[in-house]
Amino acid sequence: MPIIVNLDVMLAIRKMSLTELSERVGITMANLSILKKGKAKAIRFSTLALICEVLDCQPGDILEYRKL
Amino acid sequence: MIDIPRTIKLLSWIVNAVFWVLIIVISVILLSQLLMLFGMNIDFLSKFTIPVRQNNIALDSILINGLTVPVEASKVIVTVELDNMSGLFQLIFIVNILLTGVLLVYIVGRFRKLLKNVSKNIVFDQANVIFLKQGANAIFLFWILHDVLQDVYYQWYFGSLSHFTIKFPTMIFTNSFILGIVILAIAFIFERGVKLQQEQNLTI
Repeated sequence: MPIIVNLDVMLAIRKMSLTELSERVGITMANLSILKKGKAKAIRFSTLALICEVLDCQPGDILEYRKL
Repeated sequence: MIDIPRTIKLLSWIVNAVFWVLIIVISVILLSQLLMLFGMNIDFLSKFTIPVRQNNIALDSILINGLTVPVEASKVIVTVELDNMSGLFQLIFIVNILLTGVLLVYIVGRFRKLLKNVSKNIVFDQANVIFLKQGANAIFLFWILHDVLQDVYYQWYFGSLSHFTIKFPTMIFTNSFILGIVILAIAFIFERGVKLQQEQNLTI
């Protein structure tokens, strides 16, 4: 998948755990884990907006396109 | 508005009932064959009827308004006593009945499992696709055993008897074959549904 999810990088910068993010965004740990590992097939805009709001960042900080 | 969970439960109940009735019937037939082996005949199971299509039998003529009208039979039902048939015919008949019976139980069993999953809200799952494909394959096998081979064998057997001339049935693609095609098509649709479900599950 050419889209890389840099969620763990943002979590480290904001000094936030995955559990805290899960509680604040309202997404299960399992789903966030799928997202973090890059196994997700798609992400809803609403979910992306919530994550960006909680982490105080832009979508481009979390998602990166890398040519294979 | 149809209450889908209740409909599924009702359908499950019906399929379960059919399943257990078939199990009982097959068991009774199996038991009767075992008893026949020991020389104990069960009257209602040793006779069976074969609908034989016989065209152009001139039975008689009747007088209607001064006109003599020939009467022909379009369908003759033959009642045959199994005991009077040759050993080979008896064996083939019994094996055919048992195999088709077992297949019916298997087919109903697959749909029973499918409905059980659906009632638990497991709809687009690979297991259900497998159940549907297995059901379709069993229906095709049933069609071969029950419709094709049976007709061919009866055609040959009764045709060899001097007082019968049987016409081969014109419709070889009977209901079972068409049902098999339909179930297979539904299996492919479910397969597509499984892929969509997987994508949905991986959409955060």
